[in-house]
Amino acid sequence: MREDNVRKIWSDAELDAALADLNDDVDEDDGLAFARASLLSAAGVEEAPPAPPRTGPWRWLAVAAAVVTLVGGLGVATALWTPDPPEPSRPAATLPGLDRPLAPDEFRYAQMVELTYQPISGYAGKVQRRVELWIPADPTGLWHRRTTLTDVGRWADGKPAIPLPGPSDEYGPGGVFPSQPHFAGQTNPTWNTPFANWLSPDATFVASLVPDRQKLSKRLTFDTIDIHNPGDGRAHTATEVLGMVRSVLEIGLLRPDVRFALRDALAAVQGIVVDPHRTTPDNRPATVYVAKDTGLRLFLDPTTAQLLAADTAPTPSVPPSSERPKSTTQAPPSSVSVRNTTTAEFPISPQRSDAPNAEYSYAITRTSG
Amino acid sequence: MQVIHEGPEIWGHDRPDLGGAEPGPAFGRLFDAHAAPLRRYLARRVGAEPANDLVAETFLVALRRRESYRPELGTARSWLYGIATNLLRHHVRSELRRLQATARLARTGELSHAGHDGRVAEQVDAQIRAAQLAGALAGLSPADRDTLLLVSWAGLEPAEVAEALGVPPGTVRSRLHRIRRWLRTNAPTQEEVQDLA
Repeated sequence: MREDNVRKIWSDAELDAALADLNDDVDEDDGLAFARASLLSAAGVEEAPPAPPRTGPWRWLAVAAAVVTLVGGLGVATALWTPDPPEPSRPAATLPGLDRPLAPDEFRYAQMVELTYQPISGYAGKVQRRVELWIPADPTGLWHRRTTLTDVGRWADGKPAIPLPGPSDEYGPGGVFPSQPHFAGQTNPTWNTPFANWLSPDATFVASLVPDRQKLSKRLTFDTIDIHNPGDGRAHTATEVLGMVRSVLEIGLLRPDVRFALRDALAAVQGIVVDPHRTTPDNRPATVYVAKDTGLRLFLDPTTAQLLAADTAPTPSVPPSSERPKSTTQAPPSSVSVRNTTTAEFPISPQRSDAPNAEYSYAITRTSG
Repeated sequence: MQVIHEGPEIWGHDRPDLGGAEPGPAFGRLFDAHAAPLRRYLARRVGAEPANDLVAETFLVALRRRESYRPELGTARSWLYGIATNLLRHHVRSELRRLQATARLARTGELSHAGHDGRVAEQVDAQIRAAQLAGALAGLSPADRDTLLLVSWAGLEPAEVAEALGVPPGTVRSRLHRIRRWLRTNAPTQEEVQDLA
């Protein structure tokens, strides 16, 4: 600190000169030739790439190029994919081409990979839970669902985790799985509506959704979804609505027109904030829909309205006290503050600890797993 | 809501149609137009080696996400720099290390114009100023650094920076004004560096 307490500050000219000079010694590099060739190869242009200047990262690029070619729908709509279990951080591409009608021997495939805690032998262990769903071309046929748990951590004392159960397979005609209670169509004089299967959508329920934003808005608000808490005239909270939409989108069965109408209905729900121009942790463009009451988020593809990622547990956030419902328990504090504006800053980035814990991917397959 | 792709003759060469069935030629032209300056920008931020990988990654992501490019919302250049900016978030630590290493050169007196003639002394002064600035840049948030350097190093107009970052143009202008005022006030002066030495 200068003794005269008058600190010289930079002029604009000095600042601009320093900015221009900083790190200005960048050499021209011919490494771009390989990048160009890899790009054109991925885009389906026949051009032999030059030898890569080094290994390691370039192997990833070659793999990425191959993945894009295979599932990119670049006039290769018949290049169907029977998925091996993909790495959790690399879900398959979400493409408009997946909305085409299926051939009779094809299946719609949807995968959710989430990090969650699983009670195992009295302890709560952190696990990766992968749920894969195969739906036949005729959705009234037999659905196949496989759930796989993978250990991702050790206990606090450093001991390896207790082995997890192997993958479990379930089969449900029309999406009605034996393990799930089924109350579709049940009614009660005190309920808002007959029970609707938003949270365990099957073929019949999906067929009942129409591409009408107003009708979907009304259903999102008042459909009875829980026989133990049927509503009795109360509208669903924003978090409940988000959960309903997530459950339906994550099976990957909705027609595009219904999907877009559902997205628009969700955006119109009071207590839902829409944040466009964001990205998922793996840098896919996304529009984020946030429930202000809990901070739960859905990440939708801006072009197709497909579900890309979601919080399956409340994101830590503390709404302003004037908006906090009296009956809820307080969420843990967080550096993410949710403001009542569609221009709220949601600093979602791959390096933040509150990245969505579930990611989704979709494909068309010729086998049902 | 369907994405409608217009032909390039409607939007202009800086807003090409990237959604066609055969994207190869369009992406070849896009690469030829933007890869070299993008690489130079990224190399100034994180070094030459990571920059090559980032350029390749940016264009592959762009190819994979070409259906999401909306010509009516911005130029292809701003879209590409937006993708690159997101990818740079994986390299924040290495960028900070580079800036702090450069800043140390000014603090430790390794850059000195003692004994040099006027012209060389002037160049050394410029290097010292740049090194001093590096330390201040390291003190900015990643978002502020992106905003400033997209203008200063990538040559984007504030409106394009807004498109790249997905914020209103007014936000970019006010950020730039705040960032520049902070840097002018907080970047160490040569006298302070000499005092510390």
